[in-house]
Formats: sequence, C-alpha cells, structure tokens
Amino acid sequence: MVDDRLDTLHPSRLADATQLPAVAAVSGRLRERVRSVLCSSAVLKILGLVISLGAWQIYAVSSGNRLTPGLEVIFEKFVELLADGELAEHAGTTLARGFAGLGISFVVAGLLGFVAARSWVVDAALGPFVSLGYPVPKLALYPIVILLLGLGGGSKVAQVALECFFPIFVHCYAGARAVSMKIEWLSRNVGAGRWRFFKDVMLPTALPFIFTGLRVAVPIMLIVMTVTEFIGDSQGLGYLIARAASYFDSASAFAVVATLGAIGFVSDRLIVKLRSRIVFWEKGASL
Amino acid sequence: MSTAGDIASQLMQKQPGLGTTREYSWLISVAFSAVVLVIWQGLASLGVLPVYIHGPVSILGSVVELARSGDLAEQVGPSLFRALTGFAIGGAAGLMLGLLAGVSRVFRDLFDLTQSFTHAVPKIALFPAIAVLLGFTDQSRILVIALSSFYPSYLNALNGALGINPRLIWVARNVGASRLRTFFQVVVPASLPRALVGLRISLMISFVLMVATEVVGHSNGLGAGLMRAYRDGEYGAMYAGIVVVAVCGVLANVVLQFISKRLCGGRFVSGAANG
Repeated sequence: MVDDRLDTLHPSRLADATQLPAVAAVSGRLRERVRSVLCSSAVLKILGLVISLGAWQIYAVSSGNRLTPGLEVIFEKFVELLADGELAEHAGTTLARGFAGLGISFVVAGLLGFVAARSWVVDAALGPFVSLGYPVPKLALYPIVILLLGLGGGSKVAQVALECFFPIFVHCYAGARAVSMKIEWLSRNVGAGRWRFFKDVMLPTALPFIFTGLRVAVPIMLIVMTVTEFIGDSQGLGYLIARAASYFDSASAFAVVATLGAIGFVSDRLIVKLRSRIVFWEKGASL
Repeated sequence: MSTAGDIASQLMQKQPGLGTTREYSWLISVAFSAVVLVIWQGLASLGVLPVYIHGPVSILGSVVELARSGDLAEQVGPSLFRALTGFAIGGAAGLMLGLLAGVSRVFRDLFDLTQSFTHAVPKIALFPAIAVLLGFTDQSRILVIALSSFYPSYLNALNGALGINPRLIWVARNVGASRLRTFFQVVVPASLPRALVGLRISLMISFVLMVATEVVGHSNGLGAGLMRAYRDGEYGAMYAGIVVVAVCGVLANVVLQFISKRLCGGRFVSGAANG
C-alpha cells in the first residue's frame, strides 16, 4: 500500500503532470503532444516489448542457422506441438505433479508454520533446521529422493514439496505472528475459544502472507519440475525441452520454454486475482 | 522468487509476540537438534534404515575422505567459480538496471512488459537450448545462472528506489544537487537495504542453478560429482557432496549478510521482499 502511494508521488510523475499545462507556444504544444504520446506508459511498454522481440528476430535472421530460430519458426513449432496434442499432454503431467507437490508442501509447512508461531517450544526446536535449511540448495538432495521413491512421478512430487517447504513455512509463520497483541487480548476477552481464534483472527491475518508464500512457491515449483524432468524422465515439459534440444531442434525447445513462461505468468496473475478477491480488505496492497 | 534466506531466523528473534525470546529457547534448539541427530545415528547403526541412508557419523567420515582425496577442491573450485561469476554478472546488471528503472519512468515502462513475460519463465528451461548453442560449457552455465539471478536483484532494486521517501529527493534537488549527485548520494543509499535483500535472493538462486546446471549434461563440479556418485552407487561420496553443497550455500549467505549489515548499518532489513 505504501509503495503504491509513494509511486504516485514520485517526482518523475509529478514532473510529467506539471509539464502539460505549462505549454504556451503553439509550435511547442504540438511538439509537447507528440512527446506526451511517445512517452505515455502504454506506448513505452509496447515499444519495450517490440524492441526486445525485434532484437531477437534480427539476430535470428542475421545468424541464419536453425540453432537460433526466428519468431515465426518458433510459433510454427508451437502450433505444431499444440495440434498433435503433445504439448497439452506433457503440460498436464507437469502441472499435475507440480501442484500435487505444492499441495503437500502447503499442508505440512502451513501446519508447522502455524504451530511454530504459537508455541515457543516448537519454534525453538525447529529454529536451527529452518535457518540452516533455507539457504541450502535442496536440489542436491534429489539423488536421495530418487533412491527413496524411484525415478517416477513420486520423487518429483517429493522434490517439489521439499523445495517449496521453506518459503511457505516462513510466510505462514510470519502471517500467524502478525496478529497484534491487542487483537489477541480482545478476542480472548470476548470469550473466543482456540478454534474461533484460529478461524476468525489468525487465519484472516495470515492470509495475505500465505498468498505471498504461494506466489513465491509457484515459480520454484516450475523450476524444480523442469530440472527433475531433464534428469531421466519421458514425461513432462522438461523432457520435451531436453528431447528437442538433443535433436538440435531449438525452435521446439523455445516453443516449450514459452509455454512454461505462459503457465508461470497466468498462474501468477491468477494468484493475484484470487488474493484481491479473498483478501478484499487489503485493497491495492503490493505483494 | 524466493524470500530472504534468514527471514525465519530473524523473525524468530525480533518479532515481539506471545512466548518469544524465552530464556531457555536456545537450550531447546540445541536439545532438539541433538535428539534428531542421535535418533538418526541410532537407526543407522542399528541397521533399520536402508543401505543408502547413511548416519551422520559416516557422512562426516565421507566428507573428510573426500577432502583428503583432493576431489573436493577439484569439485568446489569450478562450481564456486560458475555460481559466483553468474551471480556477479546477473546481480550487478539487475541492481544497476533496477535503480535506473526506479528513477526513470521511461526505462521502467520500457522494461515492464518484457520483464513481466520473461520473469515467469523458469530460466533453467533455457539451458538445453543454450547448451545446443554454446555446448555444455562454463559459458552456457554462467549465462543461465546470470539470467536467473538478474530478476530478484532487478525487482528489489526497482522497488527499493520507488519506495524512497520523495521528500528526500525534493530536499536534495532543492539545495541544488544535480540529478547525478542526487542519484548517487540519495537514491542509491536509500534503496540499498531493499536492493541488498534482492541480492541475497539472487545469491541463493545462483547456488540452486549451480547444482541444476551441473546435474544436466557432462560436467565437472559439485552437482556433477554427486550425481556421478549416485549413479555409481558410491553413496558416501554422494552424501559428502550434498553436505559440501549445503555448507557452500549457507556460507555464501552468511558472508553476504555480513556485508549487508556493514553497508547499511542499522537500516538492515531482512523482511519478506519480492517483486
């Protein structure tokens, strides 16, 4: 919320606002109008996208080999993959496994986070594990997970759950801790039991934090799914990329990468939408 | 992206709330960790656990063995080189472009759409395509690590610069500081705490990507070493590799945290911050 307010107050914006009425001369007005259209947010944003895509296209055309395909080739491959249903099938596998892992992680980390936030004994017991475990690249544990669960879907689900555990735990913990003392005393005073306190006080307070945790965890989930599918599997988008690359078919690989990007983008937007719907009392809060 | 690595431990110490900062909480921390280690060791030495789950003592032994054989230095060197070079390139570019976008609306808008579309792509997915171009070399690995560590730095530097109290800038401009001077003496120091949070996230990500890029394809380094040990069934070496990766991640985090604290003094933040 604070960020947004400051953003509108930002000097650069103020400067834009004050420039407009200051135009006096007619010739100056025309130039100013062209300038204001050119520098308007929408035009600049689209210009930025066009420049980056254009740079890629020019590089692709000028290098002229199939390792750096042009945009039209990538799009063609994308349509091809979409048409024979391969893309949808592999995306389905990846998403099903990814969200299963995310779900497990959410239940376990959420429960532990809430319990640790309320009980100082659990808090102290888990403390060293959380602060030591957080910066460790959990991907290094993947061989052990494979040994335990085999190379199939189970090990991937477990690896996603492992990797997403810490961000979700930390956010749930912080959310449960965000209940202010006075609110807690108040709810005790009016006779709210443990369950009522959890349901009506702690959960609403923690919800914004939980959504932030989810927003952090989804990209991590996509990364882990891709990497684990690179390593010996015959299903999922990661496998599709690895296969395309091993045939030196860069266009298909980029098409799948773009699909992954679209999945990440859409799920991020969905979470933000869902958050503003569910946590309606925190209007415009920046995540 | 991920949150600051130590936010949990920071929150556990600082947040005033019910039942925090009891006198004996460190005792419980130590005792619980010890109990877990002892039970693990007990199960391992009783032979209840499968062969491929080693106990803490034998893992420690394998680490020492790996260090003695000289394999450790051979693996750590290239790995750290890749992770830190990638982090330096990606983090520095993200920091500079983020601050630039923070002070200039034109730059912010120019990057906005491109950034929000590419941000969602798991950058490791690009690795096979990049490897086709550059081969499974240090270049392709460092490129992927730099790409991944760019975004958290960029977003946090941007938000740090946007979140500056505008009065600071007005005052600086009012007393006649040039734009450049305002940037270096007001904007940079004021957005530093938030920008450093972004750098720490970038560092963590570059270690994850270090392992990920080494596990795929032919390579040397820690990730490749532990994957090879797994394939050959040398579980001791595998565990030693995992421990060394973990120690590297934790150590790098500690070092950057120390630098952050020195740089921003009392304004050090460790909160949950992401774009």
